[in-house]
Formats: sequence, C-alpha cells, structure tokens
Amino acid sequence: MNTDTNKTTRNLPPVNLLCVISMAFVIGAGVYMVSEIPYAPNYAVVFSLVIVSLLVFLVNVAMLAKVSMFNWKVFFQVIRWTLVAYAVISGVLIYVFVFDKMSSKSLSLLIAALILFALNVPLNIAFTVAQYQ
Amino acid sequence: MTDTIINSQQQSSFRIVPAAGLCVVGVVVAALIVAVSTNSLWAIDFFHVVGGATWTILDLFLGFVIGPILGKLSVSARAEFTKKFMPKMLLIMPTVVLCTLAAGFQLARHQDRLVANYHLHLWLIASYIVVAIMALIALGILEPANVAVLFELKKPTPNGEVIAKLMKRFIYSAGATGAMQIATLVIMTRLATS
Repeated sequence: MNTDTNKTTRNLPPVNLLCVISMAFVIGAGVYMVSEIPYAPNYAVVFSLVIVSLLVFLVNVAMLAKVSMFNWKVFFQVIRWTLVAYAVISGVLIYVFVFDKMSSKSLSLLIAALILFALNVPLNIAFTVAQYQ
Repeated sequence: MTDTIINSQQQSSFRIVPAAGLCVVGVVVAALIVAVSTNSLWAIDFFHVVGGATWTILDLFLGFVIGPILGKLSVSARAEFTKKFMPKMLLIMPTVVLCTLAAGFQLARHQDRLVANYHLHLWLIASYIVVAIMALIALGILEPANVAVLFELKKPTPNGEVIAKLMKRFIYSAGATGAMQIATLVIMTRLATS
C-alpha cells in the first residue's frame, strides 16, 4: 500500500483552487485600475474585487486551519520563505507605483491587492508542498 | 510503472533554492530599483526587453521543447533532470517576470502609452489580460508543482507516482504559458512598431 499516494487523495479543503480564485480577483482589480490610467477607475468596482478576494482568502485560511492531519512543520517552513520572496516582489512593485506618484486612493487599493497577492502565492505553494509530506 | 519508488541512491543532497543564485537575484533587483529611480529610459528599456525576451523564450522553450521531451522520459530521468533544472528556475522566473513588469510599466508611462486615449490602448489592455492569465497559471499551478517536486525529491525515498503526477501538471501548464507567450509576441511587436 502506497502511503504517500493515500496522503494526496485524503480529504483536504480546495486550498489551491481558492488561492487561484482569490488571486484572479486581485489581478482583475489591478488590470482594471491600470487600464483606466490616467482617469480614476470606478473605485466601487475595484474595492468590491479586493474585498471578494480577501473574503475568499479568509475562508481558505479558515478551512485550512481546521485540517488536523497535516504536515504543519513543512507548511510553515515553506510559507515563511515564500512570504519573504513575495514580499520583496510586491515591495518592488509598490515602490514603482509610489515613485509614479499614483493617487492615494488608487495606491491604497493597489497595495491591498498586492498584499493579497503576496499572501495567496505562498499559501498555495506551501499547501501544495505540505499535502504530499 | 507509475508507482515506481525512485531508488534512494539517486536522491542527492541538492539545495531547493541555490544560495549563490540568491546573490545574483539581489543584484538584479537592486539594479532594477536603480533603473526605475533614476528614470533612465535606456535602463528601463533594457530591463523590459531583456526580462521580457528571457521570460518569453524560456516559456516557449519549456512549453514546446523541454516539456514534451520530459513527458517521454522515465520518472527517474525526469527526477534527475528536475533536481538540476528546477532550483534554477525557481530563482530565474520570478526575477525576469518582476523585471519585465516593473520596467514595462515604467516604460509605458515614460512613453505616454498608459493613457486611455493612446491609439493602441486596447492592445495594451490585451497584454495585461494575457499577463494576468499567465500569472494565474504560473503561480497557481506551475510554481507550486515545481516546489512540491523538489521537496519530494529531497525525501530519502521519493515517490515516483507523486513526481509523475506533479510533473504532468508542470508540463501541461508550461505548454499553456508557452501558447500564451505567442499572444504576447504578437501584442508586443505590434506595440513596438506603432
């Protein structure tokens, strides 16, 4: 009996799928905002997309937190370093937007979107790695 | 045989993230920040063109050359290749993507191409959408599979079935991003010659 394979087929929440959905909303918000430059985007639309992404992310984290049989050690080992990597990536992008003197409203929403992006990618990677451990 | 347990002798001590490569990434990111902060058109263009070309070529090569070859190799041969190839890709891809996007945004702003009344604005939006889809595939499917394979290979007895399953995911998503890069080439050559 192959125990490793059983580990991959056990009942785990759809963390990967929810991460992709959450990322799709923030990336959508970013694309919409950038495509409206130099005009102000419809902030209600952008705000809604970011909030939906945040909600999906929180649901995802809540579902994952309830999992008992999981290699949390490896999960935290991976998420720690990927968070550092994606904080650097998002930090550089935020620097570009700050450097371009983007309006404070747009900048706040873009920063919120980038933070959500920088949380979702490490969560997705760490979960994928840990589920096979 | 998909559930082949790869011989533990094949498992070697390799680093998932090569430390020396991190120094190179640090230098490149620092240079990118300098390019943006000095607003040098040449430097911004350099980072966008070099980063974009590297990104596109790597995706096309992975998707249409390396991917199909990997698919035909035995699981142990794939594992051997992956151990040497993937750690480098873990550092190269995020770096070239960051350089391309950050410098590309600055370049478009520099050349007044971000404005909504730019006559090829729709082409620009199309490029954002293509990049968005590629980002979702790469960050949602490809990169997690890549890291998970490396962790599997670090085990004393890596599971061939898990590696085969994750590599299949990697090969298909690399093919999809490769196909999307053709759209990028069409859009970028259109924008560059306008």
